Parts: sequence; structure tokens; C-alpha cells
Amino acid sequence: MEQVSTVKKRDRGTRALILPSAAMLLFISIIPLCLLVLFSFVDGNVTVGRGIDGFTIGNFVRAFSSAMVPKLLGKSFLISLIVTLICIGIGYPAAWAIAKVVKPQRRNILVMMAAVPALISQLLLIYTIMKLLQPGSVLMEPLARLGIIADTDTILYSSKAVIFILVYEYLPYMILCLYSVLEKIDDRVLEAARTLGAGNYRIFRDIILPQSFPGLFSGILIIFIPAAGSFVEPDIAGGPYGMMIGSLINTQYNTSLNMGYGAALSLILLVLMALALLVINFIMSTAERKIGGKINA
Amino acid sequence: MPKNRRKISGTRVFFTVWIILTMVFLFFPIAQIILMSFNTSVYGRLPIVFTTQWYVKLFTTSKLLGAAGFSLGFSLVVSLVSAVLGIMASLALRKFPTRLNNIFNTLMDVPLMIPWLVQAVSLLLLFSFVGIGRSIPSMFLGCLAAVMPHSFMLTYSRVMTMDPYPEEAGRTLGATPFQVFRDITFRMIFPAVLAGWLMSFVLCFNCFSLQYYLAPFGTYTLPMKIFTLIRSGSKPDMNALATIMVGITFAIILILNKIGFGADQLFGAPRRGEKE
Amino acid sequence: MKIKRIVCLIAAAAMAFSLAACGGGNGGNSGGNEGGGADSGSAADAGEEMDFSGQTLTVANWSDYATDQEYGAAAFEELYNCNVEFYDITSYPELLQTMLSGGQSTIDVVNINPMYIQQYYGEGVITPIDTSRISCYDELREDITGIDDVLTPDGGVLGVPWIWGTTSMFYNADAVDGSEIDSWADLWDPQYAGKVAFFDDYTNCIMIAALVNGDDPYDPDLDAVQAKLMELKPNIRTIWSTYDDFMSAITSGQVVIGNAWPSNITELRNQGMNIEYIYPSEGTIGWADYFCLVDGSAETDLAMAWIDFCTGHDFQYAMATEVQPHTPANEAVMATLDDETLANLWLTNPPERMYMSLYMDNDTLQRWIDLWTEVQAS
Repeated sequence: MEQVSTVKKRDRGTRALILPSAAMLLFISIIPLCLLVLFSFVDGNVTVGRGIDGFTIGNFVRAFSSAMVPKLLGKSFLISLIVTLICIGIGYPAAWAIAKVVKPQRRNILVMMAAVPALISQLLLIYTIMKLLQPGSVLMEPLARLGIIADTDTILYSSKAVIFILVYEYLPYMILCLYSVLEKIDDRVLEAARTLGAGNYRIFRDIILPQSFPGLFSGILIIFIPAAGSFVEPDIAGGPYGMMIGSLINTQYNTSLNMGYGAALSLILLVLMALALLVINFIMSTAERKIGGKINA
Repeated sequence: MPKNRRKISGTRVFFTVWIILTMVFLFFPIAQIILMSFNTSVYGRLPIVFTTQWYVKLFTTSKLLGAAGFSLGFSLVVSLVSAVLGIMASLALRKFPTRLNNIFNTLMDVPLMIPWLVQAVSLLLLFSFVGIGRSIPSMFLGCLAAVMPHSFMLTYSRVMTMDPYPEEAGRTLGATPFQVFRDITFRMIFPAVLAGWLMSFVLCFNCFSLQYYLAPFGTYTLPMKIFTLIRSGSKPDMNALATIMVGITFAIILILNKIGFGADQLFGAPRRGEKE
Repeated sequence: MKIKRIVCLIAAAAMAFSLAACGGGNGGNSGGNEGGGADSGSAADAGEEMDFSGQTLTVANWSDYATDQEYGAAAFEELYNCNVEFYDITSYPELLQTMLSGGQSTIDVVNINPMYIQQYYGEGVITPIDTSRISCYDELREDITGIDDVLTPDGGVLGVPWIWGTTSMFYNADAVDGSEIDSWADLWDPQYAGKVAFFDDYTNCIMIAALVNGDDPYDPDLDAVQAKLMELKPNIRTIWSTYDDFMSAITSGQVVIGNAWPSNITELRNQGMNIEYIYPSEGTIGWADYFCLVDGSAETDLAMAWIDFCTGHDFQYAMATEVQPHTPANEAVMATLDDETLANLWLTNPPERMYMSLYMDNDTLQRWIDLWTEVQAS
């Protein structure tokens, strides 16, 4: 009896350790989210130390009745999806190569190297890529000299350039997320499957893919949401037709000073993103069940 | 059998080439930064005329160095606190019923879902209401909230899959809870903690929007300084700084690798049968 | 109160005398002290020079914009033995938010475009300036000094102009036949499809489209403007908003024509580019920046000394003659500039018609912003 009570007491002590994080979560994440919902119903701007003009559903009416908003949302969603898919396309084989193909002693250094671009200021990288894509740059000049592209040809100032920059920015995160799950796959299981006559495709579908779902999902989470909300990249590299929903939200905060509308737009984006993630999550868990459940211990 | 081996080596070649290409893709812009930091042209144009003037500028008149120093120190503090909070929360969650755990976990995802810009503006309003406004504490709390979920998630997943017996054994043998934590638990979760710390450090270093809205007047983090410089005319002293940063990063990687500390411990959970 | 008034009178008298001697450029002869020299310890010797040692002036301005150069803040610091800190502006609406959320207690002087001055005043951020303390106030370009946009309803002056310029048209003379270009309408020419750089600024683009439509740039038919801008879109390569965006696009040859600031064009020309900056026949777009005094600033005297310094001869001259030259607001300084400097400022033949971006009421402002956003989004 006595022992049980000490265990309980100890547990209570350990449980208390959650308090700082919980408090922070509540005050710095949940309350701002609630504020966002509140502000989305505010008429006009929200200024510190000043009253609010009044509440309205006008912001949502305006957003849903405008032809521009759905268009920008659709475009942002599509670009973000493409970026995520390309990141998976490049990142999956790369992560597999690091985790299972290269010599183990090179593994460490490769993972670290993949993280290096993330360590450098993103703004600086964006501008560097802009310069790389300019005709006459270190990248384009040799290509032009070789006759692969025309002198002034470039994807710059189009959505392609935006996608290129976003892929560059987020690829390291995808590689790291996938590596952390692929690395855990037991070589002996792969060996056994091969011995039992499974082809590469079978092995991928039945063993590798299901075990990589958690990493894949966190990779998607890290890329899909910020990419859809990005505004710096389309503003500087997107050209006249490159605008995305993030630019519109940003304009509400720093040019139009219409925070209420900005908050409403953010909220719409947020809800859409959450729905998309639910769908992705659902597809993944269905696939996992179909393939035969979690293999992972 | 020989046929089979050739097939394996074929995929091997494919993946090797793939990873090399990926690395080239990732490092091409970085190579460009390094190259241009030694080039006279302000706009990054060819031909390359060698100069070290941007390094001279960086260390004499440029305001970048101070901002970089501040950013490094600030991110270090934020990421350390984030790591500590992540450990505390993970250990605590172990003692909670699964349902509560799931709720907490889901809530932890919320900061990941809100665009930083939106969170920054909401936080500024909140902090102004509380009375701390734009200040170092505001910026600290804001960045901490943005990065903590990352260090928490990595630490938490390690804690939950951790073998509970060594701790039990420690306790049975009469170790105090602190001793158990210091000598057993912490050592077991250390790699995940380190990975989480690294992740928070990188994210904090880069979380421009939050710093932009929450930094007190006259305080400039590196991303803020770069942002204003790019608006008014970026000069290659930024490239010089980036080159130095890449250099330091590589040095750290090489040293870590030399002393036998690597990605396996950082990003991979221990494999079955592996000794801890 | 009485004592203060007497001090003010004496100060004003001193100012009247010192005005004649203004040429020296030593802006330090503002002996007056509105707040009362007696109770502000720093100005104890309210005579020739004031001692500001150990005091810090915080100025909100764009970075790399004249005042933070060697001849600006550094010279001022030496002159007054004080310390100047800058707060970098990124946009005026954002700055206003910053001021309202605590910036007002830290920042002493702000540089504002007249479009926003009334808004700032309405929010209680800035306060009228005693122009008698600006020794060269009478030398400042008349058509931008004391205009309605910078006056309070009862005639107080809210801003002192220190710099002005144009956002006019440029073309790369190597890629474009310049003899044909003299109108904003040339930007719409199909031969420049995908080669135009357009400044991301709702006032500029709406005013230009209005001029091309032959409309009043201050009150145009917005539907026609929007239609006109939509026509321009296929020609636009990039909508630039920062120095770097613009410079990269033009130096790489992707863009051959568009609108820009003269200082950037001068910089490019000095680097050997064959580039021209012209004032279209419809008239060009002008702008001016004003220094305003922050309401409740703890460093009013130093702030006034700063505004005085920035409109004074030494600073204005240095600003006009630097590598990336800026046009001085001080006409007396303008008169002393040689031909080469004028050429660098693209003012050998000054623009005949210049439309300044001016204050507009909130509804109009919103409509203009929304129009430009819609054009960009579609």
C-alpha cells in the first residue's frame, strides 16, 4: 500500500512538469488562435490600445463573394501541392539512399549536409536563387553558351520559379523527416522479403512505404502549410501573374491595414489546410490498413 | 545469383547518382553565395573579378555582424529552453492517460498550423494588451512557442518508445528521481533531445515574421537586418557573412563526425537489438 | 509660463538673426527651446551650441537612405556629441502600427511621405513643428513646403521636406530605340511584351494609367484605370518593390523599360550601362519625404536639431553629390550644384509637370489599394 502511494506521489510530481509547456501552449498558441477567430469578425483594423469599431460577418461575405479569393486560394493550394509532391519525389529516393545505400560512415555527414541549407537565412537563399536564375548567372550563362537555352530564357518571374524556390527551401526538411523513418526499417526484414521472392515494387509497397508513413506525414505537415501561405517568394519571383493568397493576407496587414479581413482570410486558409491534412491523413491510414496494418513495433 | 547481384548494384548506382544530384541541387546556390562573396560585381554578374572587399566591409562598416551575433545568442537561449521544456513535457506525458496525451499532442500541432505571420500579429496584440509589447521577453516567448513543438515531438516520440526497465531498475536500487533522470533517462533520450534542440535552433534562427513583429526597437536579428538590406540594396557583404556561416557549420559537422557523433544518434531511433 | 514665452521670443529673435548666417551649414544655431530651456538640464547653456552629450536620438527612416551615411548620422553625432539610432522603415502603414504599439515612446523623428502625414497626425503620433527653429526653412522648395497635406487644420506645420524626387520612366538604350520613347503609353507598346519593370505601388500605377487615359491623376475613372492596367499585364516582366528586385532584373537584361527611381538609374549608368531616364510628355510622378516630430518625444531639442541639420547646406550638398545621389529639397543648395551633379540627378532639364502622391481619404485609399491588388491577382 505504502509503495503505491509513493509511486502516485512521484507520478504527480512528474506530471507537474507539464505545467510550463501547457501554460505556454495555452497562452502563446491557443489564445492567439482564438484571437484570430475573434479578429476575423472585426470590422476594419485592430490597433493596439484602441477600441474595435464593431463586429461583422462582412469579412467573410467579402471573401466568399470575391472572385479573386477562391482563385488565389486555388492557385496557392495547387502550387503548395506541387511543391510537396516534388519534395517527396526528390526527397524519398535521396533519404533512402542516405539511410540504406551509402556506406554507414558517410551517412552522418550526408544527413548533416542536407540540413545545411536550412541553417542559412532563408531570405538570403531566396535572393541567391533569384540571381542564379537570372540570365548571365553562373548557372544560366554556361547553359546558354552550350546552347541548351536561349540567352534570355529563364523560368524567372513565373510560377515555375516560385515552385523551384519553394522546393529548394523545403527539400531539406522532407529529407530529414523521411530519413528518420527509413533508417529504422530493419534490414533483416527486407532481406527476408527478398529471399521469399518479393520484387522491388512489392518490397516498397508492402514494407518500406507503410513504415515511412509517419515521416512522410510530418514532412507533408512541415511543407504543405507554410508553402501555401508563402508570400515573399511569389512577390519577388512570381512575375505579374504569380500572386498567391499569402500576398493578399500580408497586404491586409501592412498596406491596407484591414486586419479584420486579413484575419478572416487567414482563418479560411487555415481551415482549408486543416481539411486537406485530414484528407491526406485519411488516405494514408486507409492505405496502411489495406496494405496490412502497421508492421512497425 | 550473379544476375541478382547485378540488379542490386544497378539500383545502388541509381540511388548513389540520385543522392549526388540532390546534394548538387542543394549546394549550388550555396556555392554561388561563396563565389559571389569574392566577386567584385555587386549584382552577382560574371566574369568573376576576385576581391576581399566584402569581407573587409563585413568586419568594418557592416551592421550585419552585430545582428548575426545577436541572432546566434538569442536562438541558442530559445532552443535550450525549448529543449528543457520539451523534456519536461515528454516525461510528464508518460504518466498521463493516453487520451490526455493525444489531446496534448494535437494541441501541440496547432502552432505548426498557424502561419507565422498570423501568429506574430496576434501575439503582438496579446503582448501589448498584457503590457510587455515589443520587447525581448515578447520575442523570446513568441519564438519559443513557434519552435517548442518541434523539440517536443522529437523528444516525446523517443520517450514513448523508450525501454522502461533501466529506469525501474535504477529506482529499485534506490536512486533518487533526479539521479534516475540524470544517469539513465537523460542518457537514453539525449540523441532525440539534441536533434530537437538543433531543429529549434535552426527554426528560431530563421523565424523572421515573429522577430519582425515582436523585436523591440533598435534590436535587429539577422533575418530582420537582411530583410531591410535587401529592400534598400543588398551588398555582397551578406554573401561574405553567409560564407563564414557555411564554413562554421561545416567545421562543426566535421568535428562532430570526427568525435564519432552523427546523424544516427540524432535522427534515427536505435535499431532493434542495438545497445543503448 | 510667462518665462517660457519670453524665452521663446528671445529664441525667435535670435533665429531671425541667425537665418542670415544660415549658409554655414552648421545646423547647430537653433538656440531656441520651445519646451523651456530652464527646466531641461541639457540645454542649460541655451546659447550658441547645445550640449547633447550622452543623449540618443532615434530616427525612423528607410535604411541606406542618405541619413545613415557617413555625412549624415555620423556627422550629426560629431556635431552634437550625441548618439543617433535608426529604426528601419519597411512600410508606412507598418510604421504607424509600430508607433502605436509602443514605438512612439522610443522614436523621436520619423520620415514620412505626405500621403500618410495626416493619418499619422490623426492617430496622434506626430505633432506640429516650430518652423522658426529650422534655420533654412525658407530655402526649401516652395511647392512642397507647407502644402495642405502637411498642415494641421489650424495651420501648424507637421512635416519639413528634406528630399524629393521622381519615379519616372527609364529605358535601356542598347535594347530600345530611345528616339521613339516620350510617353507613358509606350509601356503599353506590344513590342515590349514581357520586358517592362513596373513599380509595385498603387499610387504610381493608378496615376500612370490615369495619365495615359488622359484622366485626372488625382481623381480618375477607376474602372478605366483598371482596364488599362490589365492591358499592361502581358507586358510586365516583374512588379518590383525593392532595390534588389529592380537592379537584378535590369542588369540581367530581362527588363528594358519601365519606371524607376533616378538614383538607381544613375548608379547603373555609372557602372557603364547605357541607360536613360526620361520625363514622359503626360507628366511624371513625383514624391517628397518629410521629417516629422513625434508627439511626446523626450528629445525634442535634439530632434529639432536633426531636422535643422538635414535641411542644412552641408548635409543637403553631400546628399546630392554622393554615388547614389538624392535631390535636395533646399533650393539654395540646388543652385550651387554643378552640371555633372545635376546630370546625375537627371535634372539638367527638370520635369515640366510633376504629380506628387498626396493624401487621400481612407475610402479612396482602400479603393486604390484594392484595385491594384485585383490587377495583380488576376
